[in-house]
Amino acid sequence: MELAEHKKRNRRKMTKDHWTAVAFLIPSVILILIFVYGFIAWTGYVSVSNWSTLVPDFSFAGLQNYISLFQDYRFQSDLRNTIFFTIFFIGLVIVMGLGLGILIDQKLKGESLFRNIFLFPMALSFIVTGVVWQWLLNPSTGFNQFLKFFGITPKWYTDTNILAGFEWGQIEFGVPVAIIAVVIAAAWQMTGFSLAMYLAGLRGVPDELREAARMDGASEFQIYRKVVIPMLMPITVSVIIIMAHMSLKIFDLIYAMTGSGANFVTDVPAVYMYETTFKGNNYANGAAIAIIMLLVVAVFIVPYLWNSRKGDH
Amino acid sequence: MKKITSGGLTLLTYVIAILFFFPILWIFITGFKTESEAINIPPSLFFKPSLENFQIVWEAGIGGFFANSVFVTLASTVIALLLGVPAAYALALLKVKHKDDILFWIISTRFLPIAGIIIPLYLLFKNVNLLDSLLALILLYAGMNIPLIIWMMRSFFNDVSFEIIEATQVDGASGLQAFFQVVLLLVRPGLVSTALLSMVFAWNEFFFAVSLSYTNAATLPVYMASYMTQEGLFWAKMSAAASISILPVIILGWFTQRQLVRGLTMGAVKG
Repeated sequence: MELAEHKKRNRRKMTKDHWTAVAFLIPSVILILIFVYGFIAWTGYVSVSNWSTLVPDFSFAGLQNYISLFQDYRFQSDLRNTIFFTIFFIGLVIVMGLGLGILIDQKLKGESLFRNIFLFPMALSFIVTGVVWQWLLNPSTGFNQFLKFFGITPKWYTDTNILAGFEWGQIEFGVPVAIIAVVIAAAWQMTGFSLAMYLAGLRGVPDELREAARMDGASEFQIYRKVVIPMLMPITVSVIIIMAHMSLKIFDLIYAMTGSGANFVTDVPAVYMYETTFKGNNYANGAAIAIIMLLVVAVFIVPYLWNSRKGDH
Repeated sequence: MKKITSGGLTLLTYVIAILFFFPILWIFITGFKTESEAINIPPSLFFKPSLENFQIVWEAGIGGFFANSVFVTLASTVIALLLGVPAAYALALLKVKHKDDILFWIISTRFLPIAGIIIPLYLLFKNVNLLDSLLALILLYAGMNIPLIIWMMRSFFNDVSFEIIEATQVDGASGLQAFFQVVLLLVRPGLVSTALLSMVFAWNEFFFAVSLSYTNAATLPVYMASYMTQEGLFWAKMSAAASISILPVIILGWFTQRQLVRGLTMGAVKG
């Protein structure tokens, strides 16, 4: 009797909780449904239309916008730039983040001060970062003032050379030298992120493990190479995925620091998308770029999130 | 021997940290130079600091853009918290079917490029006459930060022990009362971290702002980007403007160091 009563009360509490939960969740869920998924569908619709002037034209164009994009000199340049930007950016962020993480993890004095200094650029806008680095890497005002004493005067983001280039479609495929300047600025801003991730990871490596390796006669360097860094692999994967999705979307930094550059050596899809849509009124073209960006980001992000979701259990 | 290496490592870290901080420091210093001093070669370390650049950018109207940024940042964060915190609470502590799926689905939106929804947004705001309005940016930034807030707050709520909530319910408090009187108090530090991060993101946002605002509702980043293209490379004035836009972040960060750092490390994941 008492048990049944208890059960009934419990059920009532549960349904009440349930309704509270639903009421708490519904606004966010509806907003996301409309403004994210609804609008993505709408963008997809525009991307297969003929709307290339100020006057809306929703007549069906099939995949024509996509086909002409992939034949376009500017978009091919964007793809090349994105590939090399992503590779160098991720590489630099990982090397600097891990290196600084290991340094700071040596139980130094003022550890939290260091961490805060390296994290600070993350709190700035990419616009400020772009302004600062446009200046520091400006061939006539910045670091070159010091470098010229050593006889090196790189042209940084004004360089139009493509390293190791070969003909590919409309463009020369290879490493655009100018992109390296942008990579430096972006890595300066985001190193704090990988540093924070690696620091957390390094804390998780048990002391006994290092001690055991030391007993076996391993040098400090070997301990890091053979024991610690392999243990940090999951963190490295997270850093790669998150930085990759950032670099695929990058817009602000390029916009503020270099713009498209001569011969589009520093152009990226997001800048192209913005300019063709809002400066050129070529909505269909802009929508097609947006959908391509969306698909590429999703390819990186969805499996990753799916995995980490399963990891929660 | 051990001491020497550790001293050396500390020194090395100091040097790297100073190099790392140098760009920000340099911007601050340059803001107080004249234009000609700013491009002096070699750079002048000793100069008479002047507030002239700040005065010039102020008269050019940076105050209005600054006010826009402040207003949009605060208003959007309040709205995002009002919608996001209860949702996070529900996902963490209440019984909901398919909790993980809902959370996964909400977070995934955070990663998508804004380019993917900007055209419909532009058309929508154009139709309801909200282009170049603060309201448009407030709504968008709130929306942009809700997934972030849900994700962060859920993990803070998860740390609250279930017994505490049960105890409040035995006392006869309803779900809502428990939420306001007990749980929210317990997660207050986390709430501060979350709010700070939401503010940082709103303060720095650029794609929405540059696409949907022109003169009335332009925020600081939009002003700075347009200043650079229109006025050319006046480094001292640019530095003054950049300093003005960094300053609130520094002040806020100084007072809330621990919370901001925690927010940045947690939330940057969802940047």
